[in-house]
Amino acid sequence: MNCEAVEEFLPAHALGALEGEDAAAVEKHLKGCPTCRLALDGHRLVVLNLPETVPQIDPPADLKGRLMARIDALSASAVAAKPLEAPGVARRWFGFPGQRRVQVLIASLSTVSLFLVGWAVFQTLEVNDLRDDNVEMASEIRKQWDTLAFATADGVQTVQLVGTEVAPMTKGSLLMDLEENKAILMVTGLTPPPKGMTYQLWLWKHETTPASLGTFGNVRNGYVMWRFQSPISLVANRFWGVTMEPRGGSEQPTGELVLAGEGE
Amino acid sequence: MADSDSSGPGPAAPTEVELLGLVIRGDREALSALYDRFSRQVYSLALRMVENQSLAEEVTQDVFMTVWTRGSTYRSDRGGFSSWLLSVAHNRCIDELRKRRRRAKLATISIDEMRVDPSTGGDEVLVAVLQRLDRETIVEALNQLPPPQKQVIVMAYFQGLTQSEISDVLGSPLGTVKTRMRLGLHKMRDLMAVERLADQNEL
Ligand SMILES: [Zn+2]
Repeated sequence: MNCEAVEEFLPAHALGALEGEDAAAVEKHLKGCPTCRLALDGHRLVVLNLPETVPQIDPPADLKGRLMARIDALSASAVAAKPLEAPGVARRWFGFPGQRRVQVLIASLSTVSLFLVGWAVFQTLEVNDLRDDNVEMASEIRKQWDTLAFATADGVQTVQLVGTEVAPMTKGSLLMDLEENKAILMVTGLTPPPKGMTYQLWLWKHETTPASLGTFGNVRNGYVMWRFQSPISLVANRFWGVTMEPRGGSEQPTGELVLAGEGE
Repeated sequence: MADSDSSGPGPAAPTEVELLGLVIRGDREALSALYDRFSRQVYSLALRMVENQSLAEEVTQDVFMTVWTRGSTYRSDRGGFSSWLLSVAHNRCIDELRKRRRRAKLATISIDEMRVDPSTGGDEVLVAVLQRLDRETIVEALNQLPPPQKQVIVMAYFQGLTQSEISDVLGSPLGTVKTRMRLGLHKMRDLMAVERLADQNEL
């Protein structure tokens, strides 16, 4: 099955309504075709939102008590999952991270799908995070759509950033327009910086000292969407890292590495 | 130096990701907090899908049991926590519905039952602008579809029917069902994007 044929089936696939030979052929094609996986993500985003169309009804008040009783029974019978080990003591960060074992996934996800995921995350923001900044929030969402054109352009490189041991739940994606030196950083699962602190993004080329790409501290519900013009060329890059620094940023990293990613 | 700093909103309630981190470490209170935040969405989806109160309660319990025992399988890079939670609920309901269909014959569904209720179910003060906007936008996108297109999407998603099952239920040719589903989802995607931008501009 070629892309054109597969494209026809993607809405049904996203809805889980494909079956038999169609499903098998589409699955097979998707494994080897990033373009179609990207198109599928667009449809998935719509499907992901369908629960929003359901009238909202509160569960019976006693349901929570029954749930907690089940959990207590499970814990009592010692079948409950063992707690994970607490994260190790934060290590100081210094030097070139070349030897450091960093689990890195080079982007196979295309830029648009990342964008759509980012958009979906924005939609699920908690009510109590909104407060008075609805207008700001709305404009942020719009900016995301403005950047969609940029994200779909050729010459865009994507790097996945993975949380280090101090931030195991944190994930990021960096989309870079290598020609124009523009980039978008999206991070999920990030703890807001304490007062007076900010996050700073670093780029290592082949030197041992990194260059700062700027700071970002506007974390909402664990989510960051930061667009920036890079002060240096993004070509021939090698390694990216995010550290926590005093507000305004540092000349060189002083905080521990929170996120890390490696170029091609 | 580019800088998008703005100090966040003071000592905020823990985020759902923070709560999930605690749940994974066995914190019962954190699970209780997640339940308070999300049980309404989970229960509402389950009730819509299985159309049976006690079954919807069972599904809701199971979903939060999944958070308790397998919360570590959540990946934040795949989307928001509530999307994950709702997809767990959706899958669980699909299993229920397929089980049920193995026992019972498929019933025909009239287009009337496909009507989507845009109300949020009461004067919920907490429904903030963004959330209300989202719900309205999505409901409106779905309601703007030609009814036959809406119908096949609703049957696929909320009833877990495959294209050929939908074709059987409706007595429409399989090719027709496929076309409606494709056009409908494409149109919804476009409508959601367009309405969203229009809404933003009104603010
Ligand atoms: Zn393809």
